[in-house]
Amino acid sequence: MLNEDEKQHLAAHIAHYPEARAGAIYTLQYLQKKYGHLHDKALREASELCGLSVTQLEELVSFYSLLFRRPVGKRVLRVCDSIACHMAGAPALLAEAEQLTGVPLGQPSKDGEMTVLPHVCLGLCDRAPAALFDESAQGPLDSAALAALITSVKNTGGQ
Amino acid sequence: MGTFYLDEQPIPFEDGQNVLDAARKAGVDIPHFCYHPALGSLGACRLCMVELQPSREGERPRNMASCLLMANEGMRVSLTAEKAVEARQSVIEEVMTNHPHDCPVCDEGGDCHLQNMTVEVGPPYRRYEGTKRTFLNQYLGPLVWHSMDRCITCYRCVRFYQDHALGDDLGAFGSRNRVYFGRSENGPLESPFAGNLAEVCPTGVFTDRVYRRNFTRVWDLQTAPSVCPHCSVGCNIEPGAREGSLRRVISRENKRVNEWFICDRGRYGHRYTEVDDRPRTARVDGREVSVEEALDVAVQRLSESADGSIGGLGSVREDMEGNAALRSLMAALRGWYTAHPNPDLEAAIAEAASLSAQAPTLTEIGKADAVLIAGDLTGHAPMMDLAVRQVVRAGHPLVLLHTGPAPLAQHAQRRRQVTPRELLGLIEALQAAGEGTVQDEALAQLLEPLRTARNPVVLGVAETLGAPGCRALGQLATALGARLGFALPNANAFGTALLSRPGDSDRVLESTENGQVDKLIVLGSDPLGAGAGAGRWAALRERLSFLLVLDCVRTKTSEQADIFIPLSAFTERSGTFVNYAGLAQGFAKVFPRDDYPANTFYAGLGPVGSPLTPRDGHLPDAFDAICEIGQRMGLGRVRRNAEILAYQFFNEPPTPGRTGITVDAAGFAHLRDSAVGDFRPAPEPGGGWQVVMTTWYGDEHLALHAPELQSLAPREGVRMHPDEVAAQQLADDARLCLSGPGGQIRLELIVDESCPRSTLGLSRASMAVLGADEGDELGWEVCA
Amino acid sequence: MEPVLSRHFHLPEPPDLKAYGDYRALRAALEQKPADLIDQIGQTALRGYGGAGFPLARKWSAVAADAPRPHYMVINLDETEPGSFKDRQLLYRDPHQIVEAILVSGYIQGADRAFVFVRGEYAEGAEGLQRAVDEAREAGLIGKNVLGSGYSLDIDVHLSAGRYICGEETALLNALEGRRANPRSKPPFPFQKGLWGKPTLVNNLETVCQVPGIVLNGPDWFKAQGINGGEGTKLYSVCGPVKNPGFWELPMGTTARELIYEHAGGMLDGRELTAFLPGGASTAFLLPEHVDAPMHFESVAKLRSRFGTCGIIVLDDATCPLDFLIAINKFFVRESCGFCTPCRDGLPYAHSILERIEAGQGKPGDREHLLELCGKIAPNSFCAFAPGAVMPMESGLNVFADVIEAHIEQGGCPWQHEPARRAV
Repeated sequence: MLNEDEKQHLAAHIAHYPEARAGAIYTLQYLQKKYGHLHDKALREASELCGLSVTQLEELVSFYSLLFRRPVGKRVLRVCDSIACHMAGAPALLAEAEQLTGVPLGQPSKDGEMTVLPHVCLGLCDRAPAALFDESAQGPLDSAALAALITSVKNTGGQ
Repeated sequence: MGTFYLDEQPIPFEDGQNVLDAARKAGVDIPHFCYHPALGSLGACRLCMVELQPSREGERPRNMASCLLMANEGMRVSLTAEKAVEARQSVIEEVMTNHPHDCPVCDEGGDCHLQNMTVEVGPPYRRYEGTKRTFLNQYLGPLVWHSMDRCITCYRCVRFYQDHALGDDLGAFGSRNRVYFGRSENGPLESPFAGNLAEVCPTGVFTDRVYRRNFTRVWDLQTAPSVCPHCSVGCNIEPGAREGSLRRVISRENKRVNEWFICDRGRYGHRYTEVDDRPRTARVDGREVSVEEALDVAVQRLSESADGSIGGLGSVREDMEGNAALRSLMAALRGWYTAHPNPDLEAAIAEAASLSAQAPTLTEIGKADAVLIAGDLTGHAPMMDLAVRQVVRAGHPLVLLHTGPAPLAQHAQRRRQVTPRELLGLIEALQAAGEGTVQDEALAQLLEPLRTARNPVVLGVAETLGAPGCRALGQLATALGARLGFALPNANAFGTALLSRPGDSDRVLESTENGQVDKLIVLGSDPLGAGAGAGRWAALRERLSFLLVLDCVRTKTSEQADIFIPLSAFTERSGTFVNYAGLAQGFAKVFPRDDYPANTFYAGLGPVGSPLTPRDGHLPDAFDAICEIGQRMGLGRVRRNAEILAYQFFNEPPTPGRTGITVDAAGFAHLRDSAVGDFRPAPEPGGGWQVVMTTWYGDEHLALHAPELQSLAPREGVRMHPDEVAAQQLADDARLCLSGPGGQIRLELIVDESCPRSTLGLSRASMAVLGADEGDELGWEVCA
Repeated sequence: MEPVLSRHFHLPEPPDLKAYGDYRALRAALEQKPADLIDQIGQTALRGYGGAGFPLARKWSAVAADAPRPHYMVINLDETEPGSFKDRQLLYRDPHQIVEAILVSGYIQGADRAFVFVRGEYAEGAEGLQRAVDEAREAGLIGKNVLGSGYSLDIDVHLSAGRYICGEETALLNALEGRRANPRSKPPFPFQKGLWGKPTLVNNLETVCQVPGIVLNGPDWFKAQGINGGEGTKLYSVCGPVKNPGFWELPMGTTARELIYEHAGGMLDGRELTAFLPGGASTAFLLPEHVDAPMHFESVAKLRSRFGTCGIIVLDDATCPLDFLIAINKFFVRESCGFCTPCRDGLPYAHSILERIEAGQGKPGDREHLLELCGKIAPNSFCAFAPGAVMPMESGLNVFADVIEAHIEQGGCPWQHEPARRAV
């Protein structure tokens, strides 16, 4: 649940656009940061703030690739598979990531710590094959670096 | 204005018109998917590609989407240029990569825009060898069936549902070649206009679920131009029937009424004609008889009557012809006629109709730049509500005055909700403020959007306003320089006003109460049951020595009839309804209902040409049945006079399928004369709990018998504002006992902030049981 | 050559306001009339560096001063074109340069409010930019009455929620308004009816960052920065199988040879250049014989490709060109917004054929079939996305015709390349 301060912060942000719905993306990003993903309750909270129905918010969430409607791990690793990274071995890295996490791409690992996703060009073509670990740029990655990233999460997690 | 050339054919266009639109008007249909005349151009499907010829040297011909290409003087475009043909074929080939080619099992088959385009445009072969995308379908409620694999992503559904009808529970999800149109979760679509999805969808993604259960291929349907019987708008429809049963209703274009759409009440309400408990057999004193015999008994009992002892109650839901016949029969029998069991409603209808000489069409309402509404349009005239949504959509203000819950409230720029007894005062105060005779900041605020408008429209709900409210609203509209229109009860209230004289209803009721009238003929009405004012009539049943009821649905009154004659429904006969604006529209017989059990009425029949000759073996319509009574009583003039009465204020009887004929000047003069001079003083708020009617878009006497539509009806109960619930310390799951002049009722409490404080929100059905009108003050207590 | 855009890139951290120094260009601009400044820009060849290459001065003159207010300015920082990572450098390494460029450009355009639309993957950079905006606002450089000049501008940093199509300027406007980022039809153009129906100019970041230099030093100086027929400087980049992939600010008109073989250090050992995409993924292939062409708009256009963002992607002889084409097309299939038919359904259609050929099930005529699809998708789609997607495919099908046909004839990949698992 959003507390009053958070609600006020969001309401103020929404109010600074000519139309309330322009604040929807920020609100969804904010809620996703808070909850990890946009569950039904989050959409209902956003709905009250932005004046859009849950369906209308769902239209946005399902369109934009950085919004998660389904649960993800605590950390998200986005491995670029666009052209420069593809040539530099992204397909193999993604296959390895599946092995390491033990779940298909896009699913949170069993311990809930990590989700690995293929992602479009990250603007890190000079560091191919590259990835985004939450918000921080990684690359060039090799098998060892990828394994280190994934196991680092496994080690620190485990509550 | 100008002319462009489509493959050398000159096409006239208006400024700002696109090529596709202009070509359509000139009779050239450019292939398209996402373009829709009501929803406009989108440019997404790319099927309407034409080649634009260069206008300057050095330019090359280019393919353009004709729906987005503004017509220019002298412009040359080609539909037949090789590149344009190729482009259109490639679009078909591309959309068909995912379409399942399941036409043989698709409800849309044979009536499918995608099918037509594929055949018309080509290519006639399939090259794509890849896999097809599939989706899970959703349960969208009892009215609309969902089959997403067929989708070609034209976005018409969301553009209708969200943009046009302002619904917010159907959307476009996902992206790329996996765009999904549906709800965020399974569940009934909430819009009163959801059924139109089946019509706007160019293929079989959204289909009519009710039709599906009674499916037949469209080419096997018998159809005829008809008019919707479910409210005063009179939308033009095309019912389709087969083998003696009605299968579906779709919209039919009439620019003076509805252009493209109808509401779900209109699309699904017709199911009342197919339900098992629809009366099909005549009865005399509880005994099933032939219609023939029932008529004979009726003639016999009426012949024994003294002058002035017979009352005839007509019907706002029966056509002009039936009502005229009853009035004509009453005149011949020296009896009394009224179409309205409820005197207050009669006065309201007469007043509203008399003020409707300049009533705007739906299109005109949609083009207004400010609208003021008094009452809940959605529950009384859903398509008028849809027209108002176009005003909202254009960014123009909506000012709403209402008593009960009103779905349009969420779109109102300004609104004021009051109790029923305060409504008249509010309108009068607004009028005073509008004329500047009273300075009131809050009222001025409320009116402000209308004062600055150039083309304002005022709309009222006659049933909610009552006659004094209608008159006050008329004066307010005059003060604002606004066009004025009213949602009237049922399909033919305006028509009955043309057949009525002031005080008819009072006279019949009072004559019955004082015992002068002891025989009653009731046509298509339920004075003992549903409807306001029922309390007074219900108390009179025992005093009636004779009750003859003619109806096409089962009602409380029909159950208590001495003689009952079942009538054909609107699709089984022809007739005329006069809509809220005084437009008389004919509806044609669609099919013979010959699946009903053989009726002796039709056996061994009278002379050829008798109105009761079996013809196709269908049930009688009111006009024929009543005229036949007159005939058998030796009153041949009943039929003759009825024919004159029915169309007396129209140049000629309206022809089904034509645009309709408006009431003439004499008709409006009659209405002005009919409007009562002085009204009964409206009751002041007495401080008690006032009844406020909670209605919804499926709430109409005939449609109440349509099971699929009614499965969406709001929960029955007594609605109360949360503040009142708290103040009265009521448990959320309390049950309340209410008593009124007509009876008592136990209802579950529903907390509802859309009811004003100190009111009890009740459905039409509950009000009928209680015998309560809107604004009546009622007592209640928590049930033990 | 003195670095212009990258003048602070040597710093270990992006400079704060103090380190960045006075907004000199802003002060200089405020002393001149916007019309005169547009005139100066018009004397240069400065064009949009986001891909389309529309002459800047013409674009900026399009909004009439008496058009309904407010006027919006949008900075398109939705850099998602594969092979392009130049705007990222500006964002992460010198946010104050961006703020100043926006203030200067906003003044010239007569904008009332500016939105910087930053792709969501650049969230850290957006935070840095927000800090710079806050700093500048505190210093009185942003907001009402900037530096007492009477000019007012506020800057909003908007973080996108993802997707390549948001870089299409009208889709971007929908995204900013909180709608699905489908493109809008033109006309009306954004400069007529943009954000919330008001006049809006959408600009690429690098382009806007070129403006302060012209304001400070004049058009002649700008022209003198370029070589081989180019003007000004350009953030060039090279990626792919080269020794030293990266970006460099160089004179506009630098040749591909210099970029690939000098700055990028040449091909990886043992690899040969077989072709390159000059301006990001959505451009047509150039061949080794084209490496001496100067990299600027006109020169690349002459070779029937596009300068685009001038992020060069190099293809070598160790990579199967079909695999390369499929990887590129996969990107476009996945990023199509789903609005118009040719893009939404045509690109996956082509993809199914490409994958069939790669899987060894190609049939004679498949390549021609693909070319036919290319010829029908590009000219009939709604926005520039599909033409961009088709460009590398169409040119690849021609340039590598023999390779594709070999796949079909041999029933598999001559490179013995295993079809990659691609999450499309």
